[in-house]
Amino acid sequence: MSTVEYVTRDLSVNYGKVAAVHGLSFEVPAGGALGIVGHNGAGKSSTLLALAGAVASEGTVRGHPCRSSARMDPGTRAGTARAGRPDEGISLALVPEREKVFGLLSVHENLLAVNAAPRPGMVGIDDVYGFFPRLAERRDTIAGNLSGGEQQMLAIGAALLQQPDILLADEPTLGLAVPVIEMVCERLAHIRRALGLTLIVALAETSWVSRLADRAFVLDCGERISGYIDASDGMREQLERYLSGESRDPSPAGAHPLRSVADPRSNGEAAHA
Amino acid sequence: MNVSLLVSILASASVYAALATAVVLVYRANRVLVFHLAELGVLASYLMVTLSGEAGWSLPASFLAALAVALAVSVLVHVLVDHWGRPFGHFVGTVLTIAVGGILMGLIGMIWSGRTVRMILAEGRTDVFGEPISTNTLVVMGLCCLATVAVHLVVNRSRLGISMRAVANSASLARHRGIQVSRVLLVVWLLSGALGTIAGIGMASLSAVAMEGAVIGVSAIVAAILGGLTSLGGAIIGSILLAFGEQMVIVYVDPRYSQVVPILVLFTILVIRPSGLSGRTESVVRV
Amino acid sequence: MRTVLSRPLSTAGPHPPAGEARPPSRGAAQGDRAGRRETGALARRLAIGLAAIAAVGLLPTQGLYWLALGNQSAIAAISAMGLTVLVGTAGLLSLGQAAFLAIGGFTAALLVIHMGFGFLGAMAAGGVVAGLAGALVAAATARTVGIYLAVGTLALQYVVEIVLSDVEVQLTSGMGFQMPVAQVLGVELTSEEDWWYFLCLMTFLVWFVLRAIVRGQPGRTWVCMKENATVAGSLGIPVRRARMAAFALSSLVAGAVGVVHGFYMGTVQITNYSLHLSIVYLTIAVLGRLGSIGGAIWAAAVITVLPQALNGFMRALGFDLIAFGAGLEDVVLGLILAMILLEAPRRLWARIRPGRPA
Repeated sequence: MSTVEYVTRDLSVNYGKVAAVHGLSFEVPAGGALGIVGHNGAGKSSTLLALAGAVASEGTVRGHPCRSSARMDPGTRAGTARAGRPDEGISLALVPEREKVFGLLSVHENLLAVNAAPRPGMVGIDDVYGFFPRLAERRDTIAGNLSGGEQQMLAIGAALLQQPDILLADEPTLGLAVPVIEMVCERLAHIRRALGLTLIVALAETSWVSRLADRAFVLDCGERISGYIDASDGMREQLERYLSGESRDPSPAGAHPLRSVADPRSNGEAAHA
Repeated sequence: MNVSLLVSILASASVYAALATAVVLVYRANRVLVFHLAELGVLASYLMVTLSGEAGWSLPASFLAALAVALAVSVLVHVLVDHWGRPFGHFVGTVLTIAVGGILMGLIGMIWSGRTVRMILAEGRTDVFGEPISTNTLVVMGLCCLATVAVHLVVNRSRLGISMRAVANSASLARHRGIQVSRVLLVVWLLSGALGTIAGIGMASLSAVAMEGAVIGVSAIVAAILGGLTSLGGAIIGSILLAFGEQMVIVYVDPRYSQVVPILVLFTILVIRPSGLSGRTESVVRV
Repeated sequence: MRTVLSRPLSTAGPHPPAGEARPPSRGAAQGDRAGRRETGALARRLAIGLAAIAAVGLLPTQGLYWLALGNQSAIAAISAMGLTVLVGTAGLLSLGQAAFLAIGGFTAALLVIHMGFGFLGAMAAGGVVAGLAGALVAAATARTVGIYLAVGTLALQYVVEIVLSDVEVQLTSGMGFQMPVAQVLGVELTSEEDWWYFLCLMTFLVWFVLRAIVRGQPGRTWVCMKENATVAGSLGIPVRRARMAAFALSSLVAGAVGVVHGFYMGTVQITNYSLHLSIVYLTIAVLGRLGSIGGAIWAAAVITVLPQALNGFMRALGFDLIAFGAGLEDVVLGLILAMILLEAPRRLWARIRPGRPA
């Protein structure tokens, strides 16, 4: 596992003429957990996809330029995309928002399907069953017949099998009942501790951000509009203020130095440190 | 029903099953319906006949050569459909296989100019339940069944099969999970090419192969659709039903109308139950 | 088929946020550019029209060989125009165009020989019967989507070949139906030149009518249907009827062409209407850009002339290709179809001209 901070600078994702993400910069310390909060369509999924290497992006990650070509070509191993040069990799694994499991395969087959580069201290299928005993009970169930929470567990487990340094989770709590979300949050915390995993999680809803992340920022229309908001009692309120448009930082921490301070859209709020 | 008729049906069914399995395999992987497999089979059988006949090669050697050519063509089709054609979608991919089928037919016409070929794999007769059955028919049946079953086993019981089914389920998720989708698709095309070769040779042995032999492609697609197009087991069932229907028409009505059977079956399916016997209804649009 | 086709329904693009003022000069510049575009388009159309008229007038001076090629091109063009509307505008892939030609041709043959129908009457009847057949096919395949439909039309092609071949054997002992001379309003079409003028007129009429239909309500309905049939249905568009209309129209055209073809060739034989022909028409439609009615015309000319050109070219190089016969034509046709589908010309062009985005 890497001990280096994961730094992204000026990330941009364009689908044709549409800019889904623009000039995004942030950092995650190793072993930490970062939340990306924003409305639907704000660019959260695109950010995660870009980090995972599944879509073309511009900018730099850890000082190295991003993949600028949309190699959606079937030959790429997007799930274990390396940020920067192939030799010094950090591996990432994505838990997508939709289509997170192979619905036609059984639980065990879902785990077998993962193709991961061998590594010392590998997380194996048995480890995954150790993290999620419920999955072990349902080994031969067809994934499409699992409950929402079980599918989420399976998706996370499959991602773990890719030996990631960083786990990217897109809306892990979507559509789940509260007790199930509690369980997912608890499991994720446990796994993070056990594996020293870094987590970047995208959420549209603010209720669970403080449970999942150490700190978070807000994304709106592809741009970062807040500094880092630490997990604290007031986190939810602060996030809501940014989401509702009440607050907006003209130059949030970590933004591009060339960004104009006199942005006509700002309402004069001072940037968070 | 006597043994001989039953064997005829099973032999036809096994040829259809091999082709239909290939159709379903490719369709599940990338939603492309292959129209060139029959032509590929015809090409392979012409090649095998020429090599083993005029060139004097042994049967196994000429078979391997024909197989190699078919596999090479399959690689080309993979590149064409999955790489170059990828931005255009599976619909264009399907029409591309139609184009490939046309090219193959043209090549066959150019090289062999419309000769009809027949290839006997084995001489003599064997006793089956008291009746003497052409050994050739039994060999064909055996080969096609073997090929079909082998592919089914690979898909359902092997690690590779898991990758194939994963890609068929969701190629994007497969990509996220590190599966090399391109390689999996290549394997699918190779398997389909192999099945097409065996089916084509089977057909050349059972009846004869001429330029019009490509009609079997329609029968195979019909068998696949009958079985639901997404289910391998359904492909087998569809093949058996289709072969049964055809043989009945040949024996009790008129041999020339045997070709009408798959078409009537197709229309019936399309009108009544487009999703086939055991397929999912995902690709049927009700308007 | 997304990109081989013409424009998408909407021109999506990022819209400026509501409050932002648009630069004042843009409106005027846009209007100016639009005006210039219109005159440019008009000039282009005029040029094409004049060239077409010139071609019609000049071709007969080139001799029988070219006249014959021209006639064959025109026949193929009309059929391809019908097909391109079906496949391009309505998005219904059909591999059975030749089958509808056969239905039209055989209907006409029977009516002419046994009931004394004239040319125009036979054409109308052939078109109507084929159109009804098309509507029937559409009704039968109402619940299916693209791929299944293609298979269905392929099956139709085979069935028609089998059944009509039987009819031919029964009624003519396999010799085909001998057609009399075509008469159009008292004028007999006996020479290639006569046919040329008639076919040019017919091509123009069909072009005109099809364009009007495609630009009108039916055309718009078909475009919606092609984009997403389910959504169209939920918007109240009568998708079933639209499908039947599309099929009926294209097969009506095909039926009429079948009759014309029969009279032109002098005989109606099932071998003239094979799957190969269906694929040729599809290739023409694709080459001329699916949905483009005018495109089908020049594409038909290209595809018709191509085998001759190829033969001549190879003969000049010293190869005799006659031995390869139809096989080579199939190969070339298949390659053309594949290349057009993959937009090979456009990509190649973009590659050759550096500095322009592909």
